[in-house]
Amino acid sequence: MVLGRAFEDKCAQMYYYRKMFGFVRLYNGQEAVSTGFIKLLKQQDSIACTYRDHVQALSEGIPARAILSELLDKATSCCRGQGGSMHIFSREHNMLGGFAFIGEGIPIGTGAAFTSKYKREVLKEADCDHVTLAFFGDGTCNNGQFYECLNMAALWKFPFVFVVENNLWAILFLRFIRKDQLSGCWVFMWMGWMY
Amino acid sequence: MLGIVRQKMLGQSLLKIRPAISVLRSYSSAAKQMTVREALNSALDEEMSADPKVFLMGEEVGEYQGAYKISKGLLEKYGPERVLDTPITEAGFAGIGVGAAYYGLKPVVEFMTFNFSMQAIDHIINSAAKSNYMSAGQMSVPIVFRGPNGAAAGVGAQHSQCYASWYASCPGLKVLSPYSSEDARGLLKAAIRDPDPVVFLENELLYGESFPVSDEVLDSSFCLPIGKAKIERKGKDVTITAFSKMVGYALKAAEILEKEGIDAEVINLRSIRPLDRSTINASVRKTNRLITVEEGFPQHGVGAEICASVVEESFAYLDAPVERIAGADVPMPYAANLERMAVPQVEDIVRAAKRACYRAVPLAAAA
Repeated sequence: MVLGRAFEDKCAQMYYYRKMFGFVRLYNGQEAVSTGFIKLLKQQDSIACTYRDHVQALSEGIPARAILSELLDKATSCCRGQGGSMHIFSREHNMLGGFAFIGEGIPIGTGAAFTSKYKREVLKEADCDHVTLAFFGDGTCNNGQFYECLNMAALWKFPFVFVVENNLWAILFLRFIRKDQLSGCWVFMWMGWMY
Repeated sequence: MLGIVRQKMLGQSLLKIRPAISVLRSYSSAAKQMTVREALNSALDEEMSADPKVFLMGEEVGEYQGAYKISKGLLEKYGPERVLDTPITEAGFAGIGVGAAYYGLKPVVEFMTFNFSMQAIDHIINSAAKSNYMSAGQMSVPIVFRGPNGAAAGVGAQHSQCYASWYASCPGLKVLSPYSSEDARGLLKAAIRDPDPVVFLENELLYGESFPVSDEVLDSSFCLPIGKAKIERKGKDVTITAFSKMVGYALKAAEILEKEGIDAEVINLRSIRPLDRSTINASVRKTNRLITVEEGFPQHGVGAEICASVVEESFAYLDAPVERIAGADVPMPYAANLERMAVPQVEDIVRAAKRACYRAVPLAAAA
């Protein structure tokens, strides 16, 4: 968690020094969520995120040097400078990325969970109990793909966890929880229980 | 007089034999007739049988035996874990396919038509096509997206678009479009075995068409190379390139042109990306004239890319301007007579070939 915060602060500093440019999304304040979840995962479990993926990558075990090198366009980084801040991939650490379109990572993660079930039931690898997590924000809950995958994951019973990080922002729109919006808030929470 | 009648009869019977000569030639190996539907079904069946990691996913592929019966019998044979009937959620299940492909499974994702692939195009382009590059080679995506593409019959504007040029412009994808049963079998097998994402564009109106197939094609290890076009008909006066249903039209046009003394070479592209530029250019260097034929919209189409390639590599060999024949620049109309005008017909190809050979009134005068 502390490493995550220090890393993101350093990214902000590099950005203001113009060493880093383009799209960089920081995870300050949300470190506890992904760190807590990922700490409980095994090596073979996998995760998929949105573009706010630095700290998840760190928690998965990708060296901080490899990620920062990626953000600073070094060929020695985890993706040779070809992915960038939003697309951190690591086969070794089962980090499935890093997707620009919010909600895009959810079906990918669902597919990884599908593979876990397929390996157990069709390929008869009895010890395969890999779990997949998808991290995304409250803004993503507006996206159709979220609901499509909720439906299919429940239908086919995939080993999959949807982690909604409610940071109250949807891109640049801040959602205040006011009294007159309370009903909207309850609907969202009820839907959370429903699933 | 009897001699002349005998000559005429002989001439006529020779003309009758000629189109069927491919059947006669392979008669000794007992050429079978196979529809494109059977070809696709058998290719899927054999690949699923050979590799347990191959699975099929899409709407109606299981219990309904496939919207166009391409996956007939597969649910019964392989079970619901490998032939999955999905809800109507193209974006969702295309993404699930990509996620499964990240982990080494080999999904074959069926779109009921490629018009519906637009619901999932983010996953086809951003997750499937670009992942190998973005991850610096760590994530390989051995997925096949297949389904009917282009115009059918009276299905209207939202069900009739050809997506060949859209997908073929994207690096990271391979785009294939079969014409005959041999193409369908060989290319689908190659696509399933390929470690990269492949967009496989079939044609609804070709599913029921029968083509002769040799024993070699029927063998379960038969495979066609991706990126190689086929010269369906050798000629020396004009090159006509086409893919999918238009190959049949181009061959019919070539027969009509032959009677008028124009010997057309017809190239079946088979692979839209990677495009077989060397075969096309070699042909143009021989014939010096080029017509490209496609069903899709003209602007930024497959023909535009072929014309550019020929101008870049074989400009000095051209004796006439290159011409592209494409669908009309209009959303596909519903009425049958309008639809016929919106899709290239055999007469259009014949007229264009004659223009390229300076045998008819030039385009400017006709306009």
